Amino acid sequence: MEQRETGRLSVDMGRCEGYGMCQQAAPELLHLNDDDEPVIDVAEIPPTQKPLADAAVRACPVAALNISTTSAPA
Amino acid sequence: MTARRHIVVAGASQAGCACAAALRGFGFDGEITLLGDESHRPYTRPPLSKGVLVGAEPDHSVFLPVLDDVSMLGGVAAVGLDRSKNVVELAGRESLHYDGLVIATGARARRLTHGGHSELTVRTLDDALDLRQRMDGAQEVVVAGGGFLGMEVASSAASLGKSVTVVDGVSPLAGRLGSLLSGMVLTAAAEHGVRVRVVPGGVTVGFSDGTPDRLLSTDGSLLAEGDIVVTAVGDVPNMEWLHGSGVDLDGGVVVDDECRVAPDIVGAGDVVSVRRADGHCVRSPHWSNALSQARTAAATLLGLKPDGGVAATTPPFFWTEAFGLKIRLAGHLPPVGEPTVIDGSIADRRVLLAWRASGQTHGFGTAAAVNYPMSAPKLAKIAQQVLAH
Repeated sequence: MEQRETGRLSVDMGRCEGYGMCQQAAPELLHLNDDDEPVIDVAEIPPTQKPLADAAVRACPVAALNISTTSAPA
Repeated sequence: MTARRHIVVAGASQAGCACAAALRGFGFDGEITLLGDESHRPYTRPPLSKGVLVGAEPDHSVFLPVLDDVSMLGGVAAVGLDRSKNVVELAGRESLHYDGLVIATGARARRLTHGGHSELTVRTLDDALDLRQRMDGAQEVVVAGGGFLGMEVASSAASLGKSVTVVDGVSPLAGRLGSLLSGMVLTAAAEHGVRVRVVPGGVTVGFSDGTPDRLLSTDGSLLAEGDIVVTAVGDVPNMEWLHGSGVDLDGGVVVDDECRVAPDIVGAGDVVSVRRADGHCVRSPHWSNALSQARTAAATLLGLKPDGGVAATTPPFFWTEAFGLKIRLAGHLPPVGEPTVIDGSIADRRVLLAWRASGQTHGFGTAAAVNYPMSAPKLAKIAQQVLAH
């Protein structure tokens, strides 16, 4: 069976306006610090957490979150 | 959760996509088909009236992440529902059988005229791209409707150097933001050269060579004219395809507070109308509602207990951005009475405000942050705590 793809979750702080909706969508993957900046806790997204990461990306009103897709290391 | 279950998600915008993702997030491993009537892949709408309209954002920035393990059926509209056969009827295609159905067909722009002429609206990506092009050649822009969308469009047009007139039957945004905040927006709008005309009574759109270029009152007198008229007068739920299906429709597709429509059918997003404890059905077409309803609907469809449902336990979150004011709100709209200034100042237009709950026992008041960076969770907490003071 082929290796499932995984992704890397990142935040573009130049775009981020601190809405914090990513944290509501995926508290398992990131949290807000005291300045309401998102801090990614799980950057390398395991396949089982991909829907959650997608939800965080989708919840951002200013599209500041990204998942870059890379092939999982063999 | 049997392995071969097939869930059809009708509607591929924010609510539909979020619901499909939530189904996977909850561990559903059957088939999911996401049905969308637009030819674009799923995208997000908030930037359409702002960054996309002024060209500050690349068009592709609106597209949502592609969902793994979901069959996307784009450019296909659901036209009927036969619950006795568990099928969604599609335009020009074979019907689609479902074991579970998510109704998330959203809403479309309301129009002021009927018939052949096409008004300019900002609901879809194609609308926004078309309007951007039309703005290029326009100097005078008239906006019908002074709600969130209308004022955002007016702000975008003003920032492009257009001469802008907003026409509404009531004072713009007062019914949503209350007198203080709507007053701040109107002051800022005036500073940007935007004229606001409050005209009680209905309005209609006049056309020249197919281009909407003037607003008329119901007696035919001219209210405003320009090179183009943009219509921003609310939205209409896309529920006609459910007529005759037996699904309860009351201002929207009626759902309970767990987003249930019927056994095996749930609903989420702009198309739904939530039946409250007092029996009234309320449609609240907002982004944060779409997301929370999508999660709740997914859990309900899978027979899981939704966390809290969509009963009004957490304050809803809203935001708008116009004329240099970034306004975020949590709680009930409009806020009523005098707010407490928690930080900053109204005069500086950088302020954090809170209003106590009015009359009814909602369990929370309203909090607003104007040009004041604060996350949705923190703002919601303030809206909840304001009661205790």
